[in-house]
Amino acid sequence: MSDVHAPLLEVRELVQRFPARGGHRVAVDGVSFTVTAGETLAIVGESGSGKSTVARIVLRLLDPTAGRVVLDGDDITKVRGRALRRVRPRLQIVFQDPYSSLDPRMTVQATVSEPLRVAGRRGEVGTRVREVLDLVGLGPELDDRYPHELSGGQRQRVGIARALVLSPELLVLDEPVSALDSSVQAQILNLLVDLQARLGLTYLFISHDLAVVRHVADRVAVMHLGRIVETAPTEALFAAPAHPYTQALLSASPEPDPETERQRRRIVLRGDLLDATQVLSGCRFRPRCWKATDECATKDPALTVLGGGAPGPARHQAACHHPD
Amino acid sequence: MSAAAVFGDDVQPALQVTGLAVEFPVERAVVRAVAGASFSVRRGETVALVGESGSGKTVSALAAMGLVDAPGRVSGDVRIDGQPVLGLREDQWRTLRGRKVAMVFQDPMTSLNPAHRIGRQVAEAIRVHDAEVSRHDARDRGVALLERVGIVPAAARARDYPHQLSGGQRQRVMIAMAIANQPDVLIADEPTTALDVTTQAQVLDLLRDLQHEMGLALLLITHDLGVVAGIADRVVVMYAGRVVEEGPVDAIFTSAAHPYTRALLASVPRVGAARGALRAIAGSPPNPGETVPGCAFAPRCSLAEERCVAHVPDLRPVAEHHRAACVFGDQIAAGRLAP
Amino acid sequence: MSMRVGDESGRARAESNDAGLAPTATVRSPRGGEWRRALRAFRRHTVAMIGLCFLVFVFLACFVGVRFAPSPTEQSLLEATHGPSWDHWFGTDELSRDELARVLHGGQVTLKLAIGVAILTTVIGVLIGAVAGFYRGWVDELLMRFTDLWIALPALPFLAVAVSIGTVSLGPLGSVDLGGPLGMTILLSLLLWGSIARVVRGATLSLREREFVDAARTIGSTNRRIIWRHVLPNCLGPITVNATLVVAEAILVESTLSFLGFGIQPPTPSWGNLLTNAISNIEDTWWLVVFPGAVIFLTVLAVNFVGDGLRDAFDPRRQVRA
Repeated sequence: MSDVHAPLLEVRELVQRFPARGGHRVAVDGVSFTVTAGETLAIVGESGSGKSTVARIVLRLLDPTAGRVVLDGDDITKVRGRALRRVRPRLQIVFQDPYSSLDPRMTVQATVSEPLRVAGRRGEVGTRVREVLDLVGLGPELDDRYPHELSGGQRQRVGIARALVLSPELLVLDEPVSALDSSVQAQILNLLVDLQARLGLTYLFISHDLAVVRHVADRVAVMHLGRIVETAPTEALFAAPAHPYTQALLSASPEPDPETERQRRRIVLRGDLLDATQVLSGCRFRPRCWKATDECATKDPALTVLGGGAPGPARHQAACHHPD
Repeated sequence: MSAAAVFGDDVQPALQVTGLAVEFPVERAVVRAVAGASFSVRRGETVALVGESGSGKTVSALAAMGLVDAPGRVSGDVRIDGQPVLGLREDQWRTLRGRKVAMVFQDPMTSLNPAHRIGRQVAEAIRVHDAEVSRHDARDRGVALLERVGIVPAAARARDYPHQLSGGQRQRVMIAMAIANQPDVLIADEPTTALDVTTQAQVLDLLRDLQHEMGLALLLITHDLGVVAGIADRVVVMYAGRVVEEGPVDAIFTSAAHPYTRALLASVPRVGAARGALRAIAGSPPNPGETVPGCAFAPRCSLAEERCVAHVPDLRPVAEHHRAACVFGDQIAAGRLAP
Repeated sequence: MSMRVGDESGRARAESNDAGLAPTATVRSPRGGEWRRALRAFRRHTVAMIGLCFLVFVFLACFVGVRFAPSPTEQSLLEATHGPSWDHWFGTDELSRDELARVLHGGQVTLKLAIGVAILTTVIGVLIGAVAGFYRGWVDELLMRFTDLWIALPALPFLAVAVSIGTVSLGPLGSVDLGGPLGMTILLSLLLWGSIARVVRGATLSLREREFVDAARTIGSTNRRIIWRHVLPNCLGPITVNATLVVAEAILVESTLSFLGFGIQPPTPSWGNLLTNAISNIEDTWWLVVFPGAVIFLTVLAVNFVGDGLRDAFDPRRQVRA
């Protein structure tokens, strides 16, 4: 019996190292967070931030170099083989590219019923598949279609249906709308929010798009080069971003309003993400940060609660020596 | 940019497209990717060509550069600095491309030659159009260009290969190659879509600076309304191969006249907006070449009537310098009707 | 710096009940799975269709029409070494056997062998290639070096030695005469499976990176299931094309070897050994070389045409993509 206050997902000190030329590169460097049942935690970052790697570790598509992944009290970090296959139905994913995430040679019906077959629940195929397809808004006339015969929005719905068919506890969404046309993005976002309310789902939402995040997330964690640099409830993050990187991200996100764009005093960061990988000591954001001081060069800032106090999921935390 | 300079009717546009139609024969049918699009770009102005997949925006730009090969068929009228260019032979096009009109593409990795150093590629862009220039001078000018677009230290980085650069840097190299010969028209096809948002801001700033400096006519193709709001003077909205609305950027964003534009603006998530359901547009854009009777947006439009399905609506003026292809355009723009 | 657009395909979709709008089924482009689309594309490929028709004709002639031909062993000394005539369309050989009949019978042997080789090489090659490409690492290394060994094997010495061994006992499976058609099928398969293995390995390597393979993992599929359900079906295009080309290769290899005396041994006729003695007398009995030779040439050409057609039909760039 799980404690209703305990988090559904807990990730502790995740580290992921990949072999690279001349040693290794660290994609994820000590990431910790929790996700409570029924909420949406968004992980925001640009390329190289490690957010997709974190998603793959949580899904056990990758074995972390270090750290723990705990799902509803069960440590699933090191499970393998049959035990891993038993865990799988509890964690599902919706991928970014609705085309490459569907087997081009399988019909809608086949794709959505596959998880049931794999789980040995073949008998439920008839009813359950129709149930989830209805949930995502795909009628029976599409059952025998192949992916190339569907629009991007429809394909993404198939992906969502596939992810839901085993009634997972946690749904990881990796940039689920980034590859869709603007007019279709809203449909899918609304669908995701609606499904969460109806089915009591918990979402781990990975995205680079702050505007999208604003609409779906309860809490946000901002990642930069393998670390979480700021985390806060959504409104708090957007109203008062504390870490300079978050401020730069917000400042750079274009708004569809010419007046806002004209007034905007954009923070243009120096240099490039590549330069930041050369950092050897202190804060990784230093080469691009306009506030960098000597302290930043020597001491690597840790995530601390703004205004002091005990850390907790609802607190606003930033890893900076000079947060706003 | 003063309205007079932007809308000066006496100034000949650097790029003028009239009644452009592009068709591709596919199996036993014909796909009409563009079905009669008209727009123009003057020097010193930025026009955003906005649309989703299947709108025909990219194909329009490619047609304007003569990059649509057989079996594709291009018809209509395209003029670059007054000179009609459709139907030119390939060798004639080669003198134009790079010199009068240049293009920057979305994915720099496929446009840059991975086997050559970037300095050499920029220098080559110069030498293609100027046979007189010496290797040495071309190289120096190339380095200067790299510096201008923000690749520093330029001399050192000129010796890098494309894979050693980040996405943003590669895009800057592409821009350097595009402006190497001082073109009049620069067409940028989703130049920042594949880039991180912080890098995107940098590249857009660069394009803006270059435009001011060189008086370029910049045609920016994008689906991102935020980018449009930040950089465009005028907006041309395309849907299903046709232009459905065009006008100054402020007018488009505050008093859009076409139901599609309105719906699009209402459905885009905004950083500045509060949380809540987005107003989605039902259905999907039609496939390229799928012929929808009458107005292509009618199946998804809440205002659609019989006459919308009967004929394709013309682009008609709804305000000064603002046109929309909708029978209700002026009412919508004036706020009397809400789709 | 150039990007050209010359061949954009339309995409098909059916609109569903999105947000309450009445469904409008506007399906345009090709329906159906990969096979149906490929078949349609293949039918439009003129050269391939010509090749296919010719092959169908040859097959019918060799397996059905042969009943109506004179016996290949009937000898009538009066008619020895006659050129083509109305009685004997391809002439007769030095033992006055009807050459057309010999070609048809030889065709049965050669064609059955070629198809057998294609099937066997596909089975072996797919197994090894898929396992190597999917598991990678030392498994891949081991299997690929093993493949290299077989590819590098010199055909003639290998076959010469094998044939000289004669009959081999396979224990409970009986015995195989290595110089006979079944033996030849096995031997040629051993020589030719390498190319399919490499092709399948390459296709597997790229397919395993696709997101739908990750998706299959997240729903708990075992590796075996992923290979069987997801990877292999998506390789069918290259596999089919390769198998077709192996048929052509097998015909040529068998013909050459039998001609040289290493392959099918007389009295079993094959297209190759029909030529063995005929070459020495080509001036006097040209029809004994020209007809079998032309048949081999045209058949191999036809198979290649079909292979080209299949390759184009499966080409993903021509596939409908949304």
